[in-house]
Amino acid sequence: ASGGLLAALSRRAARGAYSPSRQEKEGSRVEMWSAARPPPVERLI
Amino acid sequence: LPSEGETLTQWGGETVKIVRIEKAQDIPLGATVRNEMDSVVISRIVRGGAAERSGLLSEGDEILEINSIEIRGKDVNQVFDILADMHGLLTFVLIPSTQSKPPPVKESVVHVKAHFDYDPSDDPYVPCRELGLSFQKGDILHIISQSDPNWWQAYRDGDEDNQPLAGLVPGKSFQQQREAMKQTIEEDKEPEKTGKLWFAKKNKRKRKKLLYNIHRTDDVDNEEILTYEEMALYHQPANRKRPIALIGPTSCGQVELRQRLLNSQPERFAGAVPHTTRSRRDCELSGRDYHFVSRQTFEAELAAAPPSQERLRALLAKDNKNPKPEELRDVIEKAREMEQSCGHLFDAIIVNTDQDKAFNELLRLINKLDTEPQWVPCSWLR
Repeated sequence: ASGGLLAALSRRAARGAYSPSRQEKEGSRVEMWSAARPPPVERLI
Repeated sequence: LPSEGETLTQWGGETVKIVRIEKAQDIPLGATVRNEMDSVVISRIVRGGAAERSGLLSEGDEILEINSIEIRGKDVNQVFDILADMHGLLTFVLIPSTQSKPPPVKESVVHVKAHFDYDPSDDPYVPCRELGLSFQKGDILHIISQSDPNWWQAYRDGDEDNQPLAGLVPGKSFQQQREAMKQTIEEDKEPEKTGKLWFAKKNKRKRKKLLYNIHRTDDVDNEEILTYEEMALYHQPANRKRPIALIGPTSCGQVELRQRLLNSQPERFAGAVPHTTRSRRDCELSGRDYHFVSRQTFEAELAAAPPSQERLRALLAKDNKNPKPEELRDVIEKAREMEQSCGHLFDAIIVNTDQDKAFNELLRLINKLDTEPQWVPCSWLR
C-alpha cells in the first residue's frame, strides 16, 4: 500500500499546476539559454 | 616606444594611437568591430588580412576616427558601409585597448574532419555573419586559431587560395553544449511515445549524461555528440598498402566489386587470410587458406587489433537488378541507417547504380592512395 502511495505522490509531484521538480528543471535550463545569449553583432571592416 | 607606422599622441585629453594601414579596394582589412555603448571597438583580428599583417590593430582598441571621419557614436552597420567604400592609406585614431595583451603565441594549425553540417546563415549565434564558414560532414578544416574558444578561425581544405581571410566556425565545446541543449529541449517536446519505451529510457539516460557534461570543461566523455576529429596526412608507403574495406548493406554489389578487383589485377589485390581456431585440413595450407591458431592466440589478437587496421572504405550502393520494391526499400533503409550511425568512419561513398561506373570509381579511389596522401585520424599515427 505504501508503494502505491509513494507512486501517487511522485505522480502528483510531476503533474498539476504546481510542479517544483519541473520548475527546477526548466528553471535551470532557461538560465543556460540566457547564458548562451547571442553575442553582440560584429561587422567585418 | 611606438612601433613602425604607429604614433602616440594626445587627443582631447586622452592618449591615442595613430596608425596607418593600406586598404585595397573592395577587400576588407580583416578586422571586426562591435558597439559598446556609443563606442566602436575592434572585436576580432582575422587571419590572412591586412589588419593582421600590419600588427597595428588590436582587439579592444576603440576607433575614434578613420581618415578624419568621426567613428565614435556610429552604429557598426554604418561603419561597415563607410569602410566598404574606402581604399588606399587609412589613418586610424585609436584609444589603445586597456586589457593587457598576452604575448603573441605562435599557434599551430590543427586539422580536423567535421562530423556535422554547418550553415552560418542559419545560426543566430555566429558573431559576424560575413565571416561564417559553412561546411558539410566529412569536410577537412584547417583550424588556425582557437584564441576565442567559442569561435575558431579556420579555412576549409582546398579553399585557401580563393579565400584569403579565415572564416569562423563553432568551437568544439561550444558546439557540443549547443547540441546537448538542443537534444534536451527536443526530448521535452515529445514526451514518452508508447511502444518505444526502451528508446525513451535510453534517451533519458543519455540526457543526464549530457547535462552533466555541460558543466565540465574537458570533453573526454562527450563522444556521443560528434563535432570534430583531429586528422593528419598519411602517405601510403609503397610496400605497405592500406587495406581496402568495402562496407554496405547486403545485395548492393560489394561482393561483385570485390571479386572484380581480385580478378582484374590478381598480382595487386588479395583477400585477407582469415584466422581460425579449427584444425587444419589436409588440402589446406597455413598462411594461404587460413592462419591456424589456438583459441588463446585468437582471442589475444582480437583484443590487440589496432584501430589502424579498421580503415574503412565505404560502399553504399543501389542494386540495378530487379528486386522487389520492399527489398529495395529495405536496402536503402539499411544504407541510410549505416550512413547515419557510421558514415563518419568512411572515407568515400560509392553509389552503385551501374557496375562498370562503380568499379571504375572504386579503382580510381584506390589508385589515388598511391599518389595522394590521405587524411586519417591523428590517433592512428601516434
